[in-house]
Amino acid sequence: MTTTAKQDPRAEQGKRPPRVMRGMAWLVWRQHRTAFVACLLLAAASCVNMLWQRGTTRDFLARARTDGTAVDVLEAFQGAQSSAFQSATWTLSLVPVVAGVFLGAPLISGDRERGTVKLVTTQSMTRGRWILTKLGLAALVTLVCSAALSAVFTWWWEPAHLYVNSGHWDESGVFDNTGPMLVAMALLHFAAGAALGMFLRRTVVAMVLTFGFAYAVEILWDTVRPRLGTARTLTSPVEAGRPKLPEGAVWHDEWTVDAHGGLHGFGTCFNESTPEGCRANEGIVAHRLEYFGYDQMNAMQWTGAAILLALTAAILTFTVWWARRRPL
Amino acid sequence: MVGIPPSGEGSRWAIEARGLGKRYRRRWAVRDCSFRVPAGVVCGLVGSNGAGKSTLLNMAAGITRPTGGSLRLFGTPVAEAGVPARCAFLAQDKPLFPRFTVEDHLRMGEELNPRWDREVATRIVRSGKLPLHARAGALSGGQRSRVALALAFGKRPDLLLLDEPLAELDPLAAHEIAGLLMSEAAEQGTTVVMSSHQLSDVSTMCDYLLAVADGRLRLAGEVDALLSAHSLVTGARLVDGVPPEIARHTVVESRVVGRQFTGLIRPEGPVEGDWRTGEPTLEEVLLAYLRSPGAPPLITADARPGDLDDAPEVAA
Repeated sequence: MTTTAKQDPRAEQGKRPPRVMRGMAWLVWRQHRTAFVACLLLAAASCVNMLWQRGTTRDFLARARTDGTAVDVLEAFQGAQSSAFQSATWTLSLVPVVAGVFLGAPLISGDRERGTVKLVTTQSMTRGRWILTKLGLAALVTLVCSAALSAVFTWWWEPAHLYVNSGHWDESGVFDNTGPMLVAMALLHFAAGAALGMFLRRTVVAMVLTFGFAYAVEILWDTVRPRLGTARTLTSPVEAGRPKLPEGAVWHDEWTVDAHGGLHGFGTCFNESTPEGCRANEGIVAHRLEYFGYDQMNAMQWTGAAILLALTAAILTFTVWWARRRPL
Repeated sequence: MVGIPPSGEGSRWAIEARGLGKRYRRRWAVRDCSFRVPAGVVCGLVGSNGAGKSTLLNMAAGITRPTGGSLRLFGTPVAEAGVPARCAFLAQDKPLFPRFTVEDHLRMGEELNPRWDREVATRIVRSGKLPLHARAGALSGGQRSRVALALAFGKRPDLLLLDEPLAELDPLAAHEIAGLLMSEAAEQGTTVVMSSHQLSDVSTMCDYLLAVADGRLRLAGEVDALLSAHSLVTGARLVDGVPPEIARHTVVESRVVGRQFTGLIRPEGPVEGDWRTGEPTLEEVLLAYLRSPGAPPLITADARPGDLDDAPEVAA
C-alpha cells in the first residue's frame, strides 16, 4: 500500500521506540510491568546468590570428605552450611506466596476496582482475549521465575542432599522447593490469587484471602506429602535391634511385629523393666521400619506437582470461563 | 468472521431492541423495551437515577448480557464478533489507568483497535493542550473526559455510547466537552447515544430521545415529533378533576393551581372549548412523563421496530 507520508498515520513511527510487544500483550505488560520486572529481578538476584553459595558448598564438601567420616561431615556441615540453606529455603517458600498475593490477586481485581475493565473490554478485542493474555503473561512470569529458582536451588542442594536439613528431604523446606514442586506451588497460588481477585473486586481483600489460602495449603500439604509415594519396609528380628535406614532414605513409620504378623506400636515394651519378658508375653519377634528411599523422591515430587498443576488448570479454566460469560 | 453490511437496510438503524430485558437477581433493571434509533442521530437517554439507563447502555456496549429479548446494532446481534469494533463506550466514571500517561492511553487505543485513527485522537488531545507525558491520575475531570473521548473517537466508531458524559464536570469543562463531542460526532457522522439526567443538556444537544422510568420505556422518537404530539392546555377550572373536553384526549399530566387547570395532553383531534393551547418545551414533556408513571408511553411510529410481531429471536 502506498500513501503519502502526510496521510500515513505510521509516518511518525520512526521517532517512537520500537514495538517489541503488540496488541493486548503490550497493554498487559505496560500495566503490570513494575510487578513483572520486580519479580524477574528478584528471582535473578536470588539465582546469582545461590550459584555463589553453591561454589562454597562444593568446596566445603570436597574438603570435609577427604578428612572425616560421614558423621563428622554432617556435624561440620550443620555448623558451616546449614544457615545458608535455611535462609534459602525460607526465601523460596515465599515464592508461591508472592506469586499469589502480589502477582495473582491484583491482576484482575485492580481492573475491576478502578473500572478499567470496562475501558479495555469495550475496545475492539474480545473479553476472552483480554483474560487469556492477562493470565497467560502473568503465569509466564511466575513460571520463569519459579523454574529458574527451583533449578538453581536443586543444583546447589543435590550434592549435599545427605546433609541439608539433616538429610530430611521429605520436609517442606527441601521437598517443596526442589524439582517441579516449586513451579507447581507458585502456579497454584498465582491461579488462586487471580481467581479470588476476579470474584472479590477489592484488591486488598483478595490479597489477604490469598495469603490465607497459602496458609491453608501449607497445612493441608503437610498431610498430603507422605501419601505421594508407597513407603518401603525393612524388617529385622527383634534381637538384632532397629534396622538401619539405607543412605539418603527418610524415616516414615516404625512398628513391632508379632509372630502372626500383627503390628504393635513402636514403643511396646520400651519402658518395661524387663523388655525381653514383656516381648515374650506379647509374642513380639521383629522390628519393622517404613521409609522412603532417596530414589523415590523424584517420582513423589512429580506426583505432587501433577496434582497441584491439575488444580491450577481447573482454577484457571473456571476463571476464564467466568470472565467471558459473566459481567465484570 | 461475520460480515457486517456496510450499508443498506442493516445499517439504517443504529440500535434495534425487541422485548429487551435485564434482570439482576429478583429485580428487573430493564423490562420489555422495544425501540429503534436511526443511524446518524444524537439520541438522549433520560430517566431518574436507577431507571435503567446505565443497564441499557451496558447491554449495547456488550458489557452485560440481556436476560431476554434481542438487541441489534446496525442489524447485527450485539453478541456477535465485529460489533465491539464498531461501537465505542464511555463509562460514567471515565475509567483510565492512573499510572498510564496520556500517550500510553493513545498507544493502547492503537494496539487494541484495528481501525484506530491516530490523527483524530491526537487532535482531540492536542486541542485541549494536554501534556502527553502527564499521568492520567494527575488529570482534572475535564482532562480525563477529553482523553476518554480521544480514545472513543480514535476508534472511529459508528456508534458512540456515553453514560453521563457531562456529570461531575464543572460548567466550563462541561461546555467544552459537549462542544468537542458534538463537533467530532458531526464530523465523523457518528451516531451518539448519551444518557443524562440534565434535561437542559438533552434539549440543547439531542435530536432523538429515549426516556425510561422504572426499567420501562416511556418516550421514544424524534424530539420534534415528540413535541408536536403534545399540547399544553390551560384554562379556568369549572369542574372537579379533568374536564370532559380534555379527558377525550390522552392526558399525560394535569395540575390545578387555584382556579386554573393546566394539563399536558396528546390531542386526538382539535381541543374544543375555551382552552389556551401551546406547544410544551422538551423539559415540560419529559418531566410530565417521568412524574406520571400511569400515563401511557409514547413510542413514535418511527421509533417502533418493524416486524415487531414476527420477531423470531425473543428468547435468544
